[in-house]
Amino acid sequence: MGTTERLLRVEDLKLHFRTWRGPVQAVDGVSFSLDRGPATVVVGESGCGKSTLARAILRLLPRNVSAYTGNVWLNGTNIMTLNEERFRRQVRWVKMALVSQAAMNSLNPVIRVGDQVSEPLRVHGVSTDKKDALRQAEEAFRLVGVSADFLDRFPFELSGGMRQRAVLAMALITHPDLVFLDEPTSALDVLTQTSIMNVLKGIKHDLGVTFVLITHDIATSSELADRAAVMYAGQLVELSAARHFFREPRHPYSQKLMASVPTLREDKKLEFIPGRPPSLLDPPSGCRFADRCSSRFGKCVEEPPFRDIGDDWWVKCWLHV
Amino acid sequence: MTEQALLSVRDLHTWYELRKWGFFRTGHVRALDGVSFDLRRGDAITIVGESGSGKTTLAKTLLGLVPPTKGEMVFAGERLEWKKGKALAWLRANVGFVQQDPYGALAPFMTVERILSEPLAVHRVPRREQEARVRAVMDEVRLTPQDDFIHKYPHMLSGGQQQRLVIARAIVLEPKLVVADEPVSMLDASVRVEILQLLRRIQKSHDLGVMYITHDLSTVRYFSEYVFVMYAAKIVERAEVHELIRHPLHPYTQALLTAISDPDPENAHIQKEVPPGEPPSLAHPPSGCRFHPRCKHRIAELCSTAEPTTFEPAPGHRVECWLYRQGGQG
Repeated sequence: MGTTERLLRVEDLKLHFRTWRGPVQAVDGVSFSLDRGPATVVVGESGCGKSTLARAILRLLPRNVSAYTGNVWLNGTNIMTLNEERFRRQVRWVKMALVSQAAMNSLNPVIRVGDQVSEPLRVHGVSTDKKDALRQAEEAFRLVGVSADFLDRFPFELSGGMRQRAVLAMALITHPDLVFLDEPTSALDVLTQTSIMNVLKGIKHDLGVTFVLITHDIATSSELADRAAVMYAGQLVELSAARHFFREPRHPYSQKLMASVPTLREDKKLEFIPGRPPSLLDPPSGCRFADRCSSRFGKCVEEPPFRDIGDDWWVKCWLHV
Repeated sequence: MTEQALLSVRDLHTWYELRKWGFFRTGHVRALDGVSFDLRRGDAITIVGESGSGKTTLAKTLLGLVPPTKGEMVFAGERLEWKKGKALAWLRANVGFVQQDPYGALAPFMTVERILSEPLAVHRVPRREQEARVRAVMDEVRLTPQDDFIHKYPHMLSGGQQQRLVIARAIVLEPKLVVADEPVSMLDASVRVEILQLLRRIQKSHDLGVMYITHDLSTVRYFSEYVFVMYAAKIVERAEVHELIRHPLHPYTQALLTAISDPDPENAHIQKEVPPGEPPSLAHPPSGCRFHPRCKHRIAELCSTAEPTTFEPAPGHRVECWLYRQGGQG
């Protein structure tokens, strides 16, 4: 892995929101790197900050931000230093795109799908010619497995699966290096979900697009995962190759999470995690999982470091230091 | 399963009218098209199917929320008249309902106590008994200590606690049957298991009949004894859970099972086979077998013209598919 170029490097990224009860530490000190090619899945319970992490990297911020610090290098450029206009022109959607949660329901109902899918090209100045943009939209549609006939249709004429493919085409049309997918299949039926996963695998393989898949559905995430990242209470607690995460996770939280995933083909005793995640208004100063952890010991009142335990396998736990 | 069935449904059809300009009838959406089954007390049945397969319409019809177009239903020995208010009130007192989205199902301005005592008040349980029953049911779903929760509003509870409250409300009248429509699909995996185990425990301790409606086959085995698979408004296959998972017979069930992922890193390296196309429109369902346009095993002529009848290739395992017309394994 060391020989390939690092596509994305995030260092101590923080994004806190201002609320009337105090700052919410939605993403708090996240550091990791991604290589070009392998897809990473980010899993965790709702409210752990996985969607916010993607938004922080893409600088899609709400108005109530109280702290936004850290460094993000994309292809060796520190994009946190770019001003908003340059960020918009050079990075967002051009190099990194996002398929946000429930994006398929946010298509404009009165604009033809083809025009919407080609819009990023014109907005980001990649292509000014409408004909050319539509031709590229056709190309993108073919990529995600939708017939070009659908370009002239309105969103309500498309089924859920088709609309999801259309927003995927919209993210891919500018040929970005990195695409964040936030729960891309969670509202869809099992068969549709599987065919979209097939499409994503194909694109990953053929075009070499690097995907970051954000989901709470661990079983489905294994369809795309080359690497897996686990978030808990605004922090990354484990990052490893998929074969490590799905077979022998190290962080006690990851282990509990895996034990709670129902399986179809093998009988296993399901467990649940007692208690609930800490409030991000005032998270504990030590390990944030300590309260719910069955293997906690004295050291856990201090914050554990996020450390490489070998083979690019990172764990934030005192048991693995 | 016929003797002492708690619920027995025969040839149930629920069609929704399609209207043009709100006036002219232009056709029907056949959301439920000839469903028959029996459910014994103490049994849990899972209905699986994709969205639009009619599984929620089935739940609504059983709860008396939508009158069926045709067919009959016998519940606890009584043949149900959907048009009679008294019969419906009795039905609703005896069938509990657990909704999919707990937050949406709970009135935000009511405290836990009011939410749980409302069904009691509606069904005329004397006021002096109400508090004791509310507390007993809270104990049962582990919303304890009761004093911590009883005056709270739904938004003050976590997702899992809200769903436990919904379950408590469903069982507070001590129903004989509980219908749970996707009870865990809105919850995190870590909470999901807790809720499923809770439902299972309540089912056993009250000897309840449970109908569990879901699109997620992977949780089924932890929950019920029997599975019914629905496709395009019909039950296409029914069997005991382990039998169905091990030997799915209907091509649709087979596709559904193939599509479900287990958390396995090998999944990332394979392309899974998915039947082409999408479920048919229920306003104009295909002739013959409704799955035939997507089926790779379809038999020319036969599947597209004749509706398959029920075959039982293995004891207790019934399937509506022409492949099993000689009783063999396809």
